[in-house]
Amino acid sequence: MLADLLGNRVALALVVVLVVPAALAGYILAVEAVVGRLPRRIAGGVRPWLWVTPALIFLGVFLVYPAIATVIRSFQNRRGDAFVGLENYAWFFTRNDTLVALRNNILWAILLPVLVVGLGLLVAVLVDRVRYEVVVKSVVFLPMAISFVAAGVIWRLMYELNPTVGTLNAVITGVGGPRVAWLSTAPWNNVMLIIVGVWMLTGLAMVILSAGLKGISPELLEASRIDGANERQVFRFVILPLLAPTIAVVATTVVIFALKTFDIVYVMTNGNFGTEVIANAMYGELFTAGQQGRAATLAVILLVATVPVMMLNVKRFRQQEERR
Amino acid sequence: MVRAFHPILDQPHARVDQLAGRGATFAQVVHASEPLLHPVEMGHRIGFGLTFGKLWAETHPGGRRVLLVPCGKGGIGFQPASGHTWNRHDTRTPVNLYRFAVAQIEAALATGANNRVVGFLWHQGETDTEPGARDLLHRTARRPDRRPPRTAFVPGPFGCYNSEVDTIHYNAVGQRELGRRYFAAAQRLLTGCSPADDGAHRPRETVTRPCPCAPLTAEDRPSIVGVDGRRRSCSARPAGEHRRNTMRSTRSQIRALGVGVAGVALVLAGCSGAGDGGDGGDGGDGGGGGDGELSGTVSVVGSWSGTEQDSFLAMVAPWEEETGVTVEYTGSRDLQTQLTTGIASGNLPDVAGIPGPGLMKEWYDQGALQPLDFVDLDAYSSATPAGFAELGTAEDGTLIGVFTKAAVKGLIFYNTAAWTAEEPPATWDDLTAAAEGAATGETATWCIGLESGAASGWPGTDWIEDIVLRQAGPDVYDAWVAGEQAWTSPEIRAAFETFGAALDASYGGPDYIVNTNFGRAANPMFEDPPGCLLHHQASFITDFFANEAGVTPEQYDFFPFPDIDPSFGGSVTGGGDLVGMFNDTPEAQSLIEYLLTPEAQQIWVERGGFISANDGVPLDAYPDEASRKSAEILQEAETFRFDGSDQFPGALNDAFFQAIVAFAQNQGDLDSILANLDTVQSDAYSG
Repeated sequence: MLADLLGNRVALALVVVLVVPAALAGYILAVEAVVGRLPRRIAGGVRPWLWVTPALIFLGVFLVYPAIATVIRSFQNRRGDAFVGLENYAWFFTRNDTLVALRNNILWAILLPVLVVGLGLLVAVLVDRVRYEVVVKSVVFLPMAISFVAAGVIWRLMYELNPTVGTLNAVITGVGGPRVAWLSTAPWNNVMLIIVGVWMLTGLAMVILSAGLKGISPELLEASRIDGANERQVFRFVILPLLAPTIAVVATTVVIFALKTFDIVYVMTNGNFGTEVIANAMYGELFTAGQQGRAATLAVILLVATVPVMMLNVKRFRQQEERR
Repeated sequence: MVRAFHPILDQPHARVDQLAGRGATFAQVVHASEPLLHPVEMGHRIGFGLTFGKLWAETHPGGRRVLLVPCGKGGIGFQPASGHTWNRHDTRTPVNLYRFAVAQIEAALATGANNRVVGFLWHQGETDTEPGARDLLHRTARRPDRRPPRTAFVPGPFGCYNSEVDTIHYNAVGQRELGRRYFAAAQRLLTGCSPADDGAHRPRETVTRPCPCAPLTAEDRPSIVGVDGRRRSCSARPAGEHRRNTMRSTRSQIRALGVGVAGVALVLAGCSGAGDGGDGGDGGDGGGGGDGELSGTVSVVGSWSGTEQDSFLAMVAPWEEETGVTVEYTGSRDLQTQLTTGIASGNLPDVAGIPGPGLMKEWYDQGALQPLDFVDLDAYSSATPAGFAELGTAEDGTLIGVFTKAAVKGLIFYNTAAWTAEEPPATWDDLTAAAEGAATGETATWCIGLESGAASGWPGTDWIEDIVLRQAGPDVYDAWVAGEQAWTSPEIRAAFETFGAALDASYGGPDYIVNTNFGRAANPMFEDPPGCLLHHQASFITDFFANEAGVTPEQYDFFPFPDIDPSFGGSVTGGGDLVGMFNDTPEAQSLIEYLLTPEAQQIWVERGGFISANDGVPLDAYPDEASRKSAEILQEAETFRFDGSDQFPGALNDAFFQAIVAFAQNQGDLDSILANLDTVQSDAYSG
């Protein structure tokens, strides 16, 4: 019965779409039926917990448990059947290629948000003043619709050494220059990969920043201009401070993306030529080398690197909530 | 009215079995009990087959068993309906019941050396009362002399219908009575009584319980032809209702049955419109579409896609035809990831291509790969090149992977217009000397391209392997593959240096080498003037010559990688596609056995792009000179060694790939590259 159901994907999709929400709704109704009979004071205390229980269970099963299991596994051997203490962490911090991956991730985490936010802000501010704003924003946003793998493939063609295929080398050799091995020339190849990320994410940053920009009251800008501020001063002392929370949100989001970047590197260089990143190393350790312990260690290191950024993000969010 | 299953009347018989037409016991002999396992589920109903079988078993004592082979489905007549057909030539309807029946009968015969077919029961219902089919039925009923020999025609009992409304289908009483009548007709044929007697002279002694609804009398005869309007009813129904139902009732009585009897012992009964009678309504409405259990499936995951996938499917098609099992093939560009994930999640194909012997052994140790102990190891190892069987064997001596497709590596291709030497160079020195003489100005000796996405570098690993085998010999090679030879040892370092010299004499320089896809690497060889003279690659590269460089087979040729140290002459490296089994099912076993036969492999060989691992495939089966030459090299090799990097543990293999890329980019880093490989090696082999 269950096998038949799983075999029939249409039926399964229907179950997921209809039965799961129905079950959740049913759960809440059942909770209400029970809680309604309790004394009001107790009911008030119990209700919220019962309501969040399904969410907590989902979080526990799909997020907390895997996270804890990953941390535990990072202290185990390649098959996950014996503890090896800190050996995997020692491996990470003493090997040249893993340290290169760490270095590159730091490079990604700095360059990507700077370029994405910088370009996104520039485009948002500039197109705010022109009539064809929608067209420009659509074009800049378009790469968001492409998967990272597809973007990697596209940009491999851009960077291709052979000038009859590679757009950039076609331009350079067209004006008489020597062709450039964009993807194999360290350390600039890292920047070349980051540019692909910038191309993908600038649209997102631009849209969010543009929305923030529209939210700034025109009276404020008017007032500052009347007070004698020139356009640069208006931007520096009025727009920028007001946009700061939005910029922070965009920047932290991009930093998290930079830390977990995988697709672009995997598709374009697979970590060759000194472009390794932690997520790609993790994939290699898990699927190629079968080193579950080391893969988990890399996952934990990524997690640890992401947590402060997440916390910053949450803190910002809370401050904003308080202001409202 | 008695309509349902009766615990005593319908109880099984100790000597009556059936060959299951569906379910977990499909095509196996199981005890026959109602409902019989027809190919399509018919609910908790009874048919006539068991009654027939029981009577046969009782009247033919002596211990022989009766085996019923249910293969009918309700509602299917001479025309295809609900996805089923009885027309043996019909290949468009999803389920061909005729072929199914033949396959089942053959399976039934195969279950015992003394089994024999003694008869067929064909139960024809109302479905074929349309013009044409009706005429055929009438002819069969009225003209015994025009029937095939030893065939009887038996009218069904009247009145024993499901209900007042459903006067088409027999109830349980009617079904049992049908069984008795078929049996009686079969007896008459056996005893030489004229088949023209049909049901009218039914020997009453064999019928223990006449149909209570409508005793069969001579009255029935006109009713068989009653569609013409001369029918007389023996029904006790009120006249008005009867009239309303005349046409349908009439149809219901044209239940023809042919019983051909040819001997005693195995009775193949019940090719019938199953599902009639008993509890339900029209059993014919139940099926619809192909019943998956008619033929099982074997899921196969392999690395073949495009043309190779077509060829693989062509190779297995005869097996599918023969067994009725369907191969569900999925091509994967990343076998390793897919199978690693599959092992972790338990979601595995029955049969799969295995990326290499190293992973194969890991997966066997994990308990995922199943032993292939059903393969005749002696026959297999003597039919394949030396060492193939060992490569597919686990530490404990169990065969776990088999080769169907082989590849010769280390072939050196050249442009026939640019490389004009009569004889292939006998040694590496000869080759170098000849190349230096021929390479002038713009033309380099080699074309090398290492880029291959996530596997970039692998073409260089083939170089190193060929050099190690010929320069340091098979013993060093084996130690190296086993992880017992240090990468920093003089032998391996020398191999890298030899490769480095080739890189230096290569087209385009380091940037070109590391950035150029292996498939396009040889394109400059065919330019005018040629960018290079020679290209080192395995036999598959000819596909890329045709598709990437757009050249014809006359424009290139190849010779084997020459000897380097004459004391290790005649060495060949190669590879092959390993096939293993993750789910031990009879279908998977049968498929693997089939894939190993030279007949199967010849199908792919003739389609091109396939060097058979089996020397039973004749050399003249190869469609082109290149693959024939490869097969010849494979069959004549003095020392054959399997691709070394494919046998390394995954981590070392990956590091080897990356080392090749790093080395090609900057040969000055050789020391640190080899030292790193030593670290990875000791790490990977430490477990």
